[in-house]
Amino acid sequence: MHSVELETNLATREAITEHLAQMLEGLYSTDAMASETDGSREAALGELEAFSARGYGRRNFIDADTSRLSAYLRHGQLSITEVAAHAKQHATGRERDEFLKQLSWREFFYLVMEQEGTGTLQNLEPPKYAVRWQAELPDDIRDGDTGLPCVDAWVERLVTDNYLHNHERLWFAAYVTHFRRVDWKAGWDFFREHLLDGDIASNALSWQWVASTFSNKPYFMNQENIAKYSGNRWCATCRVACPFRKSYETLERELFGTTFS
Amino acid sequence: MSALVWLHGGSLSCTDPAMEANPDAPAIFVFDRPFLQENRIAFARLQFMYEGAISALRGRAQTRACVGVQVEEILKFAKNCGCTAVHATQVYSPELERTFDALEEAGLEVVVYAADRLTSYSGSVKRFSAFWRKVEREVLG
Repeated sequence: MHSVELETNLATREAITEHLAQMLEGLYSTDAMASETDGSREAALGELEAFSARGYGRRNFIDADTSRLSAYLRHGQLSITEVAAHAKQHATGRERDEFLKQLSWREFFYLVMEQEGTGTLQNLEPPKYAVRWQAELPDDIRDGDTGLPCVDAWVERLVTDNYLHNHERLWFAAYVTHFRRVDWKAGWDFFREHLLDGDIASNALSWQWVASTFSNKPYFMNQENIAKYSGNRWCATCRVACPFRKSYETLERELFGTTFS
Repeated sequence: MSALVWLHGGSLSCTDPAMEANPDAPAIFVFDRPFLQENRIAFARLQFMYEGAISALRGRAQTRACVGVQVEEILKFAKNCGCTAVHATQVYSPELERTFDALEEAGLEVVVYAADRLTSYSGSVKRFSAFWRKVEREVLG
């Protein structure tokens, strides 16, 4: 297998795109388009400097001002201790504590990964409901062509921004695993393909948490939850037969054949 | 015994522990061709990583960035630089463990640095809520 030398003295992001598009030809799954997010340490420090955790209490709302530091933490441009130190210096009160708690999830996932090794890529526990998941991600999901405006918007954002808000990740994972009965591993693989912060520890374990193979019960949502945390972004104009527009009790019965509450 | 630093996908910074411990050592970053042939990865992810890599390599006298078979390229670089040890920072991934093993089998000494940690917790982990109860004071302090 031949090797190719890469140029490291490239002056602009456009020059990097052009160079990599040529040198990595055949080795990437999308068009040769850069993310808006610059991967350099200098850019990472700029993002960290700009982050104050102000408004972090609203982090579950998808228009909230979240840190967007996860990709830099994933790839090492920022270390978890320097991000924590920044938060302790620049944030206060409940927002400071909540941010540090969220940061601890990353540490937790890495400890699980260290403990379980490659087992992290298999079900860590049996699912908590009787289910037979299909192995492959259906094309209509991969193509953002399900006909559900919210789901298709999550796919569009994933593929074009290489980012999804955490709540969108959970909704999408619940849709894929519970509503469409697709194995979480296929969904995780789709996330790893596109998310700048795609990794095994945080992403595979989050999918397992939703699927109930790393939690006591499956995570799922209904339309009311999506409308609330999205500011009614899709629901206000949606005219399709919504699979989420049901009470939690009904959805539990339909999806899992049992109740967990 | 001279060392080189291997920058992998979880250590793309000049402040990476292996890089900081070896400020004058040669350093290498490799896009692993077999991995990219077997796994679907978006171009944007590869550029993001590469921007991190070249930013980390900047300022070092002897560096290399390439596309190839990871282990082979690291071994080739070590030979060219006269290095007998490879230093890298630990992150937990199956590919990384396989690379460490293969480098050792090929005769290089492998020195692994602990990844940066938020807590000193070292017990077993199962649920976040139990973990959080144990580390809350340390994290928020």
